[in-house]
Amino acid sequence: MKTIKLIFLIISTFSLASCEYDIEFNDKLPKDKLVVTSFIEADSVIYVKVSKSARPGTYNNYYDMFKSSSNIETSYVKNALVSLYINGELKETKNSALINNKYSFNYIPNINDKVEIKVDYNGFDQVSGNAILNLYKPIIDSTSIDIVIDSSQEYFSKDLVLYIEIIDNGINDNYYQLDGLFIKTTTEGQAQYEEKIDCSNFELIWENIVGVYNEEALSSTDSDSENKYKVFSNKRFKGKTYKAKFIIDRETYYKKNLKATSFVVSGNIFASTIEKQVYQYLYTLGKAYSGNDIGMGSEPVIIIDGLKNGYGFIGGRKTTKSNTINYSSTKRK
Amino acid sequence: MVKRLSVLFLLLVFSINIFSQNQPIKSKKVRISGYIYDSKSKETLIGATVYDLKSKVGTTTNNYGFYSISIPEGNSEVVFSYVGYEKQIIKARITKDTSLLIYLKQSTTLEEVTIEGKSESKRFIEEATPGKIVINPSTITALPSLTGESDLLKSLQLLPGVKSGTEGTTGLYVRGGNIDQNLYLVDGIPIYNPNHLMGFISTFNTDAIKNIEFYKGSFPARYGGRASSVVDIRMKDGNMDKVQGDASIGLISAKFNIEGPIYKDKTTFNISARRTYLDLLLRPVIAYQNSLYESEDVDFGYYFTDVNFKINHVFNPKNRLTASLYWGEDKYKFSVNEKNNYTSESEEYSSEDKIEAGVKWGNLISNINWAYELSNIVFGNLSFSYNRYRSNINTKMITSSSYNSTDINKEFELNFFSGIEDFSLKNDYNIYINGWNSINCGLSYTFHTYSPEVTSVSGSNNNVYEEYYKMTNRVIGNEVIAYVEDEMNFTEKFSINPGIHFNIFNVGDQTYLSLQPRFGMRYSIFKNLSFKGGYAMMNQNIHLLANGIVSMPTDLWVPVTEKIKPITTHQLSGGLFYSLKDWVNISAEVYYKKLNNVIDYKDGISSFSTSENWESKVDQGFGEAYGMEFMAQRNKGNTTGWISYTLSWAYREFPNGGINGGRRYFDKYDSRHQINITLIHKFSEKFDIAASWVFNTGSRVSIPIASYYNPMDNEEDNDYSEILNVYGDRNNFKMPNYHRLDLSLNFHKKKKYGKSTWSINIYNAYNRKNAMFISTGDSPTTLKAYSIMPFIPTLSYTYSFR
Repeated sequence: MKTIKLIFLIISTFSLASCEYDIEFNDKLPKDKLVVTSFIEADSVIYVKVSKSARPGTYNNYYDMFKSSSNIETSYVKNALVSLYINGELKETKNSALINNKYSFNYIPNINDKVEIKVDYNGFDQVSGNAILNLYKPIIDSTSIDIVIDSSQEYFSKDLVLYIEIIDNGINDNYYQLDGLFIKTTTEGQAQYEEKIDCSNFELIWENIVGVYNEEALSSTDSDSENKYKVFSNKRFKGKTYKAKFIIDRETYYKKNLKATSFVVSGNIFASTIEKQVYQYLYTLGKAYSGNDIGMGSEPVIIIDGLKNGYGFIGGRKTTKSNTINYSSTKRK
Repeated sequence: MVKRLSVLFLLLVFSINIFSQNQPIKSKKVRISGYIYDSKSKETLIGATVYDLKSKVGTTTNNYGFYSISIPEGNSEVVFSYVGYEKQIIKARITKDTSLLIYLKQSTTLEEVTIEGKSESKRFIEEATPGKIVINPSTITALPSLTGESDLLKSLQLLPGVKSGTEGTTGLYVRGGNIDQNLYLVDGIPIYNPNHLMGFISTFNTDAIKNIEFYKGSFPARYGGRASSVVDIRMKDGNMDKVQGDASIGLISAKFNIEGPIYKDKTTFNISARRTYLDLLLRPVIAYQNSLYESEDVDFGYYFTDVNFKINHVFNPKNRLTASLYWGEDKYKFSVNEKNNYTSESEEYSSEDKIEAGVKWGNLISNINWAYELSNIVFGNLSFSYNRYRSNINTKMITSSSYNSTDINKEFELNFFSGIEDFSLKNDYNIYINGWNSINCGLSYTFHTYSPEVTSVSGSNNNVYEEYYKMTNRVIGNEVIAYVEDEMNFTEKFSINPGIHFNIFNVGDQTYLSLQPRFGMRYSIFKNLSFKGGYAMMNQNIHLLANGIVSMPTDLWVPVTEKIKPITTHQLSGGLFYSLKDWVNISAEVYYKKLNNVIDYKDGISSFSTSENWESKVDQGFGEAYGMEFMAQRNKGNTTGWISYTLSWAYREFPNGGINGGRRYFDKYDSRHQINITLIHKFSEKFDIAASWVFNTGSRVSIPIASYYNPMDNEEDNDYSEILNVYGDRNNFKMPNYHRLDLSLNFHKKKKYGKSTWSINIYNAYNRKNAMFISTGDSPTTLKAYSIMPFIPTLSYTYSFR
């Protein structure tokens, strides 16, 4: 009996031995790199942001309960040597950031310029990227704003819906980015207040060609769009007109709290064509945005960088600003 | 290019046949044909050798034990042989076509007596199919196993060129292929899900298996439908002479196999069944737990079961009919029932909340097969089969409450169903043209119904029923297959096996045609050394949407569409095969494989998502795999087994950009080095031991290699910048090396009516902590590895009655 107990104990010990252990990873990690981002547009000031990467787990997310708050400042590179080349010729250098980690140049590039930026910083490989400023200027054919009200539930929701039409030139592979800035002025009795709607959360609710804004869209009414940076290509609407509706703002409150208000919305939509490397970076960045820790069931999103020896992108952009769009809630009545 | 190649093959085949038939007759030929049986059980023997010593020509029996060979008229000496059996030599004067039924006795000595003719080693040299391995079911039974339950698929994982997936599971990744690219045939019928218990046990009950042929390359033309491998399993017909069987019980399951005659020498049956009893073992524990809590009752349980049943009837030597059935099912259930009540002077309240969940999945295959001799040179078989795989998940929530005589009843139900249903008609022929040339050909039609996902969500509120959501995704497919292959043994030194496999697959509005050339050749450099080479193009019209970690009932088979094209592979392989004095067989083989239209989930897409719009969730691209395989195997004597080494590479590339930015990357199961050592030693009739040691360099996972703050976050809210993880490439990290030793000790004892065996199996004998998955660690320079398969001993008891 004793022997059996001993055998059982030995077997149990083996079976229940610890199943978790550490693997040293340091020698397999690459060198830290610089993170550089810059949109370059003809006739506009050039800004370049420079920070640095670190080993996974070095930086803190703002929501990490067990760590101190975000240490983003430690990632800033404030004194890199940033050089600007126009058509192969060195035009300007900066060796200190204007604010935080943002550098700016005095030189303003022109249309058709080839712009190259090189960033040097001690202990890091040189990062470089370039932009060619001959992009097609996007055509915004039509825009409007409307309100969609849903009062079927216990709560009352008021969606500000933007309608937009973009015409593609049909010649090149074009890549687009949308943005917008609106001011909403609300009048409640005697009080009046203003708020900015920066369109950071465009929510697609309809498109005439399914799969333009989000390749995984199930239908034209699919609202589950994960395109945080609002970038898309003309792969599915080359030479055609793309029409879409987005919710750019939503208010929700219980019906019993409903008060009589009126408001006016005024602002512009910005439609830009961007270079391919910018689109690739922002598209994959948007998909990876919610965090891509190792987990079961999905492979992480590989962010495609548009630089040599660094993370981020440097690329050209051409922006069309729409006519001012106005909407008044009193007119709707 | 492929079509031209295919037409050339056909012309070659026909011209050689015409040439051979137009040759002047040197001597009159006669034909002997018939069946080869096991003398005790009267079970037909597949792949048994028939060899004429005079003309030096030979053949092998087909899947029904039938052979036909043309020999010179006059005095003949014909050898009939099979691995593990004593040879039989028929010396006779044969002057006309003769039917010979041969009964071979199992060998009582361990050494195979080789005087002349084809020994097993000679067959090893002269088989014109590199990449083919024949496995003896008794070898599988002797090997160590995880649960004490012998497992065919886990035995295949010990072969060179075959990688296992998640530890402990039965997944096969063959020469850079994926888990859904393996064709499992049970008596000629494909099985869609060959797994039980989330992939930890295969559906094949080895007690019911007669023969196993495994192909990694140079696929004969009769096979098609999957891109990377074929596992052709033939089940036993049943003992013609007497009733016999086995019954065994282990720690988690029990099984039995009984076979015997219904009418002696005419009709036989074979039935085997298996069931786990995990759910039964847990019942007392659950009952005890429920007794502690009055207001709550919990119930859960899991089991799997499978049944193989076969009836074989011989009308006459030229006609036999077989009816077979396989049914297997996994079932999981869970329920919670909670009751509450409260009573006071002014209030009376009671409620009952019930949750019931059930998951069920499995296969059903039924087949009727008529095997017949049209003549002594033409053997045919006609079969009709029904094949069904389905999985069903059902969840129900019921809430009933009563407050001061006001009743509220609410119900919510989610039902998920997925399945495939096939009806097939197949006709195959073996045509034995002459002593050196035989043709196999066939035609089949299959009607497919694919239901990747049928989901409904419904509920009721005080008996008012409402359907919230319903999705029905059902597709009909039609498939026609035709093939022809020619086995040509020009001389003792040189033979070829060309063939064509033609496939038409129609699904919805889409029709795909595929002409797949196949070729195998063998050239004997010396008596014991041959070179073998082959080429095969394979085509696959369905894909498996799976998580790739464990086999889940939510894994979905989906047919190709207009956007998602069939997978095609082109594989070239060749090698040297050497038999060292009939003592050990050594092979060294190289292969190159190109895969087109492979699919995988795009970056960031969960493999647990629904099948709705699945085409947009996957990307289609290429694969490339190449490598070298070395193997030394010994199949006779007290010590048998094999040692193998594989050096291989496997890549994937999805140029559309949806995966890894369109860049080439290592496949998940790219494992550079793989070593397998499997040994079985029989000390005596009472005791034998088996050991199996596996080593492979780790498979690959995606690990973050850097991180930085999102540069696109709002400048004014820098405190809320998210951190991004950088991976570089998919599958950028190689897991730690994997190795493991398994042991089994088998103690046999003769009983009055048979034999009993106690088996002790030890999985992972030295408790190696092999990483199953890894995650980021506590510090920036460490990762955390998790292993789940420690040292696991199991015990089982088997009684065989004869």
